Amino acid sequence: MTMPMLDCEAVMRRLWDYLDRELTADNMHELESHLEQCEKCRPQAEFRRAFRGAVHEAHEDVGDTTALTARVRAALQAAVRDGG
Amino acid sequence: MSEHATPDLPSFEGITLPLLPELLRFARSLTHDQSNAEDLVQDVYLTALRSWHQYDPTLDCRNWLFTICRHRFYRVSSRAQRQVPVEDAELESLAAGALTMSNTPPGFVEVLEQDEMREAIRHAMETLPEPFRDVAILVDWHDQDYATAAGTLGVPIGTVRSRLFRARRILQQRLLAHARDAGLILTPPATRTETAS
Repeated sequence: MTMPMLDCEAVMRRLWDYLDRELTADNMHELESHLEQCEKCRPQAEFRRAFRGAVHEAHEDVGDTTALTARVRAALQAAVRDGG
Repeated sequence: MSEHATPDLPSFEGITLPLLPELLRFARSLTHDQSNAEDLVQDVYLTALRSWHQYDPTLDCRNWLFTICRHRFYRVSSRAQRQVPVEDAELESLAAGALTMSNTPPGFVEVLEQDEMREAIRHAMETLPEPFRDVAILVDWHDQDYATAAGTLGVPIGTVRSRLFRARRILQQRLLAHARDAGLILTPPATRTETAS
């Protein structure tokens, strides 16, 4: 069965859902097909994908957590001891 | 440990402590401060230990700890969550499209990927208005899907979508302004229409 082609506005409405992979498989495929063919929407999708990737990459690592783990473990043991 | 049986500490630690680094990252996103984040993490673990009998082992423990963390943060810091009107998520997505098409200069993607923008992105993310920041942190930094983020935040999925899309639009506007101010993009400033009500 041939599905009706989405229009650009419908694609824009669901573009974040598509990039976050939150759509059903059929809807993912529908948007994918539109983006492959539409020169107006494709740059928008590419920009948002890059933007999302840059935001994700900016989340810094917390470094060594050994000291905090030891501190938390000591606090937990004290809580059990005091409460038990 | 109050009226409930003392939890099996090795079992509790075995399940929860491997999640500490990620919990610390989440706590730091909320507090903007390493020392306060560490205090918050310790508080979360003590709260989780007291509530361990309520934990459903079929659920993702990480999300359970995130939920406690968020609740403790707002409780300890006495910061009431600001209520924001729930926007139409799809209109937010459309607005993001309009913003990008009309306002994004060539080369902005390349600028976003530069190392010197990472700090600006972090700052922009961490200073988003709270309801938008929390959902963006969970989805964009901690890879939660919409349904999981909805569970962590205790809001409907539609609210997650609208807040997330708004957060991304605000971030986009702020980072574009930052790139222009830093001279990384040589185009005239556009009218700023940030909507963080």
